Amino acid sequence: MVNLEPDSYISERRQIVHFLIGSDNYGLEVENVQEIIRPLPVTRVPFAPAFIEGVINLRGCIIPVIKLDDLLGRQSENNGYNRVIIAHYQDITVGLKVDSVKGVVYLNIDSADPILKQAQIKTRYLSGIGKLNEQLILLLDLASLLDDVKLKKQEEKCSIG
Amino acid sequence: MDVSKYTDIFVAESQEHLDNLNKNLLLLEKNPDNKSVLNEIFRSAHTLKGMAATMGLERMAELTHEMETVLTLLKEGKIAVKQEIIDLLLRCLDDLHEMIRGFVDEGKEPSIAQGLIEALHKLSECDSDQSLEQTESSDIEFNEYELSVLKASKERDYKSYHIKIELAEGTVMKAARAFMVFRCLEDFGQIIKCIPPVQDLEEEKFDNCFEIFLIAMDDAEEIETALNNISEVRVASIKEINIDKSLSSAPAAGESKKGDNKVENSVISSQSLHLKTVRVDIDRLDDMMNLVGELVINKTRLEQIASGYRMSELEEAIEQMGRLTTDLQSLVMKVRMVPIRHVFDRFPRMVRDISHNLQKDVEFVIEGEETELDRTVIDEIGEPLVHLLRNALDHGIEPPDERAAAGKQTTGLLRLAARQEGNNVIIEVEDDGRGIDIDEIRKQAISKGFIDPREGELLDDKAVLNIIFEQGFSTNNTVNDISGRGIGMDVVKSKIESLNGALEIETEKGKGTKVIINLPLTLAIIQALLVKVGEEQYAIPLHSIDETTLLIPEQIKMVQNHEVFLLRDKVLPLIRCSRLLEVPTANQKNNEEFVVVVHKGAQRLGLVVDELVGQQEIVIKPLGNLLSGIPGIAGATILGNGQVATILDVNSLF
Repeated sequence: MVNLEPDSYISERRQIVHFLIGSDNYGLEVENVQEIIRPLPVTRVPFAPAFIEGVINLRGCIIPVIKLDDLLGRQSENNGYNRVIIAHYQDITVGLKVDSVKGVVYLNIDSADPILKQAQIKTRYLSGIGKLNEQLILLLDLASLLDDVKLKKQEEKCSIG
Repeated sequence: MDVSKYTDIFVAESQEHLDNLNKNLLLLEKNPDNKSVLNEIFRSAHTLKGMAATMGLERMAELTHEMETVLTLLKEGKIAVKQEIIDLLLRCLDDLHEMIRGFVDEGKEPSIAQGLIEALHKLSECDSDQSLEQTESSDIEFNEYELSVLKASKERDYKSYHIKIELAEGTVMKAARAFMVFRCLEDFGQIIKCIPPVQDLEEEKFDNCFEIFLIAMDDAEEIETALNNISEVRVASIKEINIDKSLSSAPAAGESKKGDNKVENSVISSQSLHLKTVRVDIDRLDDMMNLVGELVINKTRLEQIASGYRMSELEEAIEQMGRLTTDLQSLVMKVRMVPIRHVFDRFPRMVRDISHNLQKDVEFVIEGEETELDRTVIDEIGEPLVHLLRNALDHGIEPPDERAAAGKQTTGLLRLAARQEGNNVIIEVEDDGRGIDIDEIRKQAISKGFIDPREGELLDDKAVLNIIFEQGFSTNNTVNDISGRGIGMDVVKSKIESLNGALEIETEKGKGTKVIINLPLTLAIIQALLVKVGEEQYAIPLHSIDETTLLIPEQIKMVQNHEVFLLRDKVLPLIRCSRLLEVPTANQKNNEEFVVVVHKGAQRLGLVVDELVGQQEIVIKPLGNLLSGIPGIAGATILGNGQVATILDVNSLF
């Protein structure tokens, strides 16, 4: 048994949107979620990074849609997502393609690092982990995800130029 | 009192006053005797002081107060307008600007730059030794009507008084007290003039004192006691004025006065104009523009639906709505228009500083500053213009001795002009300097490896000129802090192109250079051609399209593995959009294809598309922070059927 230091082991009760990609359970804090919609027709954007599905018209706003499964390295099940989570962080609004949304739940979220390290799960884009009826829910870190997306865009731009 | 909600207004207004001060100080430097300009400066500084004090910005209030002291001395003619004074005051403005910025960014004002206050003190002190109490009556200007009244009253043995009234500190209803003073004085005689004007008194736009000129038979003491009987009012001084003196000075000043009056009139009319305008948050205008954009999209959609039904009544109604939408759109566009003055205003100062710095004599002429441009364009155009003006001052205009040797006037001419031409605004930056040496550029371009020697011989002058827009190219071998670091022209060019504008240079060696910028009036709604590539729709801005034509396979030739197209005996490079845009469901080669001929400057190329859908008004929407800056894509738009189409950035294809 590893003795976890109290400082790095913080448990917090948070409200999250619980969704599935493939068979994996993910969560996103409700503060970051604007709404959940059924897929809209997506327009491909040429020269955009590969994990950008394209853009959609959400009531007059043009919003990019990210293939979350690609970015997280998961395989989407039955190859058909059926929900898009419209999420926002600071001044960026994006659509996240997911397989299905299970609902909004309250969870005790443990800060990710120690546990995930212990479980040897890649901690990229994850900010915490919670347990719901014997299921582990990985909490998505939208900030780091979007930062990374921006970064990747820059890289691809350079490789084009 | 919580003043934070006034911050925005404060910043906007103080900025306006600073701009005003800047402009007028430069004007004063040119005409040191112009009293009305000095008055305007004084007024702005005074208002600024008041505003700063209200917002609790003590340092700013202190600095403006010291400036005001110096300005008072100037106004009273105790010190003469000299370049050092103007320099000092301009430096104060810079500092004030910094303070406001500091206040906005950090919520507190930075401290006053060292030495400014001392310098101001020194100015005001060395001159306060001189006679402090000069006769003030000679400073006061009367207009012709007032003079005639004064003259007439003198002939009838009336006395003219100059009365200074002081209200007690903290008087609540200042206007009412002023009114009571007027009532009281009207019992004695006629009030011919008061400072500040009656209107300002009524609106309480004054401190605690004001001055009145009265014609009366009675003695000064009587008037004084009567006035002092009014509560909260005190007579600071009451003097009989010598009319002869003012009268005699009148004809001498008559000539210049006419000019002054004109200026004053325009000042007054601009003040009354303010009452008819409303300050609106730019975000609200953006929202409004967005809504109109939505309306345009919906109108297009209705038109599409109606075309399927052939109902004349419906079509009529939609046509009517179309007209209204167009009117509304042009109105909103107009509302967003800002005179280019807002950008131009800061240049005289900059040109002055730089030319002083370089020790060049430059006459700076601005034309067409009333030309209006969309707010978003205004915000962006300043930076490239700064580059161009700096270039003209540094590379273009020669030092005076060199100009004299070349047989030119020693004072160089720098002209900045704006005008509207149809749906475009043309901005020209022109100097009569040494011009651009095209052969020199050719040599430099070859030696720096921008072109190879053989190419250099073949390129015509225009093409060679275009090299100066390349990144890292500079003809000036010496790098200084003004220009010559090889950034600059390429920045100017990319900025102008990002605004959908075009840039052109005309130059003649020894005669001068002219840079012509062509900008669209607005960025938000444009005419575009919709095309289909495979199953995908794209929009190409109409202003960069020359023509469209059917692609005749026999006219395609191969040059160095690139497809070219012969169009009326001219060779046109072809770009296949399906390949360029990596369209997954590309055309199966059995249909006919079209060529859209697009241009950038003098270059042209053909884009091969599968289908021409039609011309349409589109609303440009940004792709958002996440996707912005993708090369080749200028944005996206929403079509009538709700689908999104991306807009091709034609400029980046060349």
